[in-house]
Amino acid sequence: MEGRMEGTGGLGALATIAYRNIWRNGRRTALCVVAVAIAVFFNIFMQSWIDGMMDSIEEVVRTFETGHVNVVSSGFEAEREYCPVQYPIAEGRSADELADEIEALPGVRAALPRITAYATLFDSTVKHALLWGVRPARELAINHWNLTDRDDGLVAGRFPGEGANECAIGAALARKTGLGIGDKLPLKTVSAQFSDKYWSPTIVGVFEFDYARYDEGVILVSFERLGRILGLGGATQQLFVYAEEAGRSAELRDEVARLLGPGHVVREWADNYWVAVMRQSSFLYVIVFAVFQVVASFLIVNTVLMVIHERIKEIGMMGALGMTRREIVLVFFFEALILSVIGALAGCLLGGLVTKVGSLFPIDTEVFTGGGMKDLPFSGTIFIAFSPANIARGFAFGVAVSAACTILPSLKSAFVEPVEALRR
Amino acid sequence: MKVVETAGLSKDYSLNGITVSALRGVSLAFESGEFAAVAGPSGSGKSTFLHLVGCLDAPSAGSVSIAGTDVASLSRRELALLRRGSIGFVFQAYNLIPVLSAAENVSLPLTLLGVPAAEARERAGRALEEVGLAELGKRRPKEMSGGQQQRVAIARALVKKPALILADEPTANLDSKTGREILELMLALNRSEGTTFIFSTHDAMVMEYARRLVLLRDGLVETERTR
Repeated sequence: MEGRMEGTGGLGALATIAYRNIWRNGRRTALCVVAVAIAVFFNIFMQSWIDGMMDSIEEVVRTFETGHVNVVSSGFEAEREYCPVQYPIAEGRSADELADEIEALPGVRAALPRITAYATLFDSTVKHALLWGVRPARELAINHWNLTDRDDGLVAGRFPGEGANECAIGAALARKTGLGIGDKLPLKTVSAQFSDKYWSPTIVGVFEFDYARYDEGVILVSFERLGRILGLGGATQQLFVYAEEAGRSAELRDEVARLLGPGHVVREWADNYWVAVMRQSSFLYVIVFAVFQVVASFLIVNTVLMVIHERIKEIGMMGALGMTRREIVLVFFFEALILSVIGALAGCLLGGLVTKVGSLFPIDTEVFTGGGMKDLPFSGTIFIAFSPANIARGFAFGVAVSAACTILPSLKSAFVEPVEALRR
Repeated sequence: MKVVETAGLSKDYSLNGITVSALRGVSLAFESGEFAAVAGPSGSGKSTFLHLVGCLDAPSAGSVSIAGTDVASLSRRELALLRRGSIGFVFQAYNLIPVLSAAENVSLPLTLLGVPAAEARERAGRALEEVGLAELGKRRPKEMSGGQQQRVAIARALVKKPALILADEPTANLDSKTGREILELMLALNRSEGTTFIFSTHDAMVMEYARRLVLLRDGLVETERTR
């Protein structure tokens, strides 16, 4: 910077003085930079962690809970917690017919019928499980079931064949029940006609989706077989519609709702309770980040107040030279701003590096949750989301908050009377 | 032409509830090109007089006119701009900006006035040459002696060619040899540039150099003589 001041004009001269002033006390500058850097790093890391968690929740919700657009009958919706099977979608119409009609809509990738029903297990320490009637081949053409390894999640055997008297169970359920491939799984469920149905499918596969709720409590069976047992007569209890682009979900929801008419509940995945809760909490995170940034900025605020006190004679001299109050304030404000920018840049560099590395390796959430968040629809492992936008936001947020915090203390310099300052 | 004119200039300070009069109705006029000293013992009001004339402080009573402008009517910002354009200051403690080189310190007033960079650099170089420091433009204040720093301060005051340079005890921090050199320099610049110098002092050697001497005592003009 030496020798370049003249080439920068009035504001440039003030900025040059400010820039050189920050090196007058290296230790104090380092402390300020480190404080801002830590805050910016924390904010970027936390935002990336939350984004990773959000991505996981949203993907789990889209894969297992709703699809991009979820279709059920109004009757099912009213008693959803019991997974009733007596309220099929568009009663009297087959699942395939409905799926074909929806898949004919522009932008629809697939419409997958699914049935879920509660089952009571016999001869087992585990008494209850959820029957999940799906068509594995079609499902796996659209989704990965293991979201960590991004595969079908099968750890042994195979998935049940179409219409076969077979099932696959989660690895955790297999461990708890002590059952394995080749064993029978005797169970009872209730049909659409409210009659008890006793069934004993053979276990042909063990899966691990890395989604605790499914790994511990789901029996995966053929959609056709389960529909027959429950007396659905080819109809389906739920339809999971997948769009070509997830961003078109809302539009697709409206089209599907129009197609099916009244008596149905058609929802977009973003309406899921957990997704909505997480999204609505975003502003709370902003508050937490702001508090952290403000606390870090106190160090700069303190520095500005100290340097104004230390350089009181210089302020007087600047006034004597004919610098206006605004120009004197700008010298101190620029000094704080430069400290904020250097700190924020350091924080971004560190944040970018750590989140990039973090995004490459799955993080086992059980380490942090102790396995106590099984009801939350997220995968057992999450990936930190590396996002240049997060880094840019972290930088802008760090600089803006720190700079805003230093405006007031910088203004203190405007109230120093040159004549008083020169007398010191 | 009158560069400075004061009429009934008074300044009172309140110290612990007691009002102290630093100046009590001083009326003086300084013509363009004067080389004047305001002298007097400590507490006589000479620094207060310089601060009021330099528009750094407001009088309790009376008026100050700079080049015909009554400064009482000016806003704080206008006063700053008046100082920027028309008044140069030389302080006892030099008061250079420590993070700027000598050349940058000298060019700063020009930069503030909006003089283009190349011209400011060139004029600053010439001003440093006039004070005998052409080779030291890149040095920072801490790398220079007291006398050299005061020369830089003089160059900084002079570079914008102000109507008036106010020097508050400019030799007080210097040894007598360096002090004499500084006075010779100021006198030479006064002669060559025609710049008006008003300086405060209580040093007899400095008073010798003044063509006009105003002696203050207890806030009043005690004697005034012109050589």
